[in-house]
Amino acid sequence: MRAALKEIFVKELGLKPDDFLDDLTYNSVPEWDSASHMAMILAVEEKFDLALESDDIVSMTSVAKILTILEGKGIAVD
Amino acid sequence: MAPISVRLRNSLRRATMAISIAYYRRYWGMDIGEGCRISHKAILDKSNPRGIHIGRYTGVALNAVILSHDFVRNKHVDTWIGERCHIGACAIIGAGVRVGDGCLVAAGSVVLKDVPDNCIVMGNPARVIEQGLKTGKWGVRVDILSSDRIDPNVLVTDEGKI
Repeated sequence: MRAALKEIFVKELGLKPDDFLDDLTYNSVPEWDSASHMAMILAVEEKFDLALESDDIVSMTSVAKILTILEGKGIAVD
Repeated sequence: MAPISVRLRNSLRRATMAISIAYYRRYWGMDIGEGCRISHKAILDKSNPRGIHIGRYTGVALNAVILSHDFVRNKHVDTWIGERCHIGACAIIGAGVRVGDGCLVAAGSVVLKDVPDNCIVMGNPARVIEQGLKTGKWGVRVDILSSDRIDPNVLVTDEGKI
């Protein structure tokens, strides 16, 4: 899942692959703003075939939290 | 500095905007707070103009639609928009929706459910994607801009809100 999430971040946010770290947080880099956050959420939903709730979307404020939330939805972190 | 044509256009726009807001209030009876900026191209529902409530210092961008009547259910409802909000271009605020204070409605969003205070909503149907933001007048974000880039005019100082 981590690799797939990294791919989404690189593709949707235009982030450099080396910048994808667990402690990367929302609004800490110019690439990850509200508009790209939504694009990332839509890509995650499509990739993992999920429908995320508003609470989940709002709490996905760092890579680590995204991984935890997705893990809670039964997607294995590899 | 911007070209003279742009400056002229902007000052004319401000002046005519004040006239159009006065017209919305007096002729149509809409409840529009002080200091709002409503684009000339924004569409406010004239079927039930008394159902439109917009808080102070809210900005409404071009082609945004704010509805206050439900044709299919044949009823007039009240639609509330809080203060210091920004309603993006081409957004649609459905009839009977209550948008909280300090909210940003992204361009093209279709808001069908109530929005809590200090949120960004985006998409169709609109979903909350960020909470706890701080906005100045017309929805300028004062929490993520560095202090030297914030125009002091956008800060709402009375009542000590920001």
